[in-house]
Amino acid sequence: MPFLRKSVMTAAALACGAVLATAGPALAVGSAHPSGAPATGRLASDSGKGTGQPASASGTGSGRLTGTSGKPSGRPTSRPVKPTGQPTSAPRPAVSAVPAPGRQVGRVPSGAPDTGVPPLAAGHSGHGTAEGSAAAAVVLLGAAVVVVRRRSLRAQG
Amino acid sequence: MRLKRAVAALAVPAAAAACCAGCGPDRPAAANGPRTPVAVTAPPAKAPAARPSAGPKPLASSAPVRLEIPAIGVDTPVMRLGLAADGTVEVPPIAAHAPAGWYDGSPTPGRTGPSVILAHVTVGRYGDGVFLHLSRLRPGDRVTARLRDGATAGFTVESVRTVAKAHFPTASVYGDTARPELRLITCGGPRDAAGTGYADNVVVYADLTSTTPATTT
Repeated sequence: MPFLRKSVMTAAALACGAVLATAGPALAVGSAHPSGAPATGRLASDSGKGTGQPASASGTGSGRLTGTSGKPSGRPTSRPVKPTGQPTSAPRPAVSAVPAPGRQVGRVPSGAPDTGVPPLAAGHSGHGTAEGSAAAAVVLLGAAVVVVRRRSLRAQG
Repeated sequence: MRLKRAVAALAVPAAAAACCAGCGPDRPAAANGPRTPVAVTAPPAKAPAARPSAGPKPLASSAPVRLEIPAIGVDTPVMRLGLAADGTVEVPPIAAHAPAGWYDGSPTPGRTGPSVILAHVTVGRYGDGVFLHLSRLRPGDRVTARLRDGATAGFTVESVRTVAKAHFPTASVYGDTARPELRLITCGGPRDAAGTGYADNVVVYADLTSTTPATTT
């Protein structure tokens, strides 16, 4: 009897350890990244305010939305973002944007645009947490099976 | 004996759990990354020489609202982008279905000069970006920009270049041109050292080759 109790406690301790070992890192990864939640915004229009805050989401073309690699949607999208949120190793030139009167591009941007965030650097995807939870559930299920079997054996014996 | 059985019973699900934890999408996903551009060329030393204007007549100024690139399956809304406080060009948001963006400091498509449109190659956890396959464009491919006033500007790809971000060809991208041209920009190449971005930019140079008039005034 004491052995059984000790054994069950050992099983429970092992289960807890396994849960922490599997779910812990996933949860930690999930919380270590910014959410990156987009803000609401509008699409380009010809309202001509020049503020970078477009005014219409409708567009005037055919208006159709076909399945594409980018899966565009006709609904309003987010505001443009500063590329500084995705640091790169590429050094930026020290030149800043300067007005260039008479030129076709009024203000020439400095540096190179950061137009991509690799999937790995995407931050919390939720998948890690889900995997950790699934792993924890599997381990707990195993522990429960052990306990039930022991109890049934004890009842028989 | 019983203890051994209990440990064995725990070992199986624990091993399964360990396998589960290692098979998620957060693993290094080289196969899922953007395709490495085929041709990597050095950045031009200077802006392309002004060529005589032999194409269609330039269009009136009207912001682009839609971009279509049939060769790579792109049909996306276009948002307006400005300059960030640090002088860099804004980019579309890191979000699902993020559209392309037109830099409003550049001419509108169909106007004389380099009209600049940017979009993401990948958008992190949201997956593929609108310009995922931009580097697959080849000279002769067609690009259509639909404008707010109903006009359309049709461009033909002239060249596709992959350039290191450290040597971004500012002059050839933003420099004056003798006729309406288009620049499509996204990221490409390998990941940077930090793994949070890409080392290169893919720049598509296209010339205006057809127009349709505005439908609204």
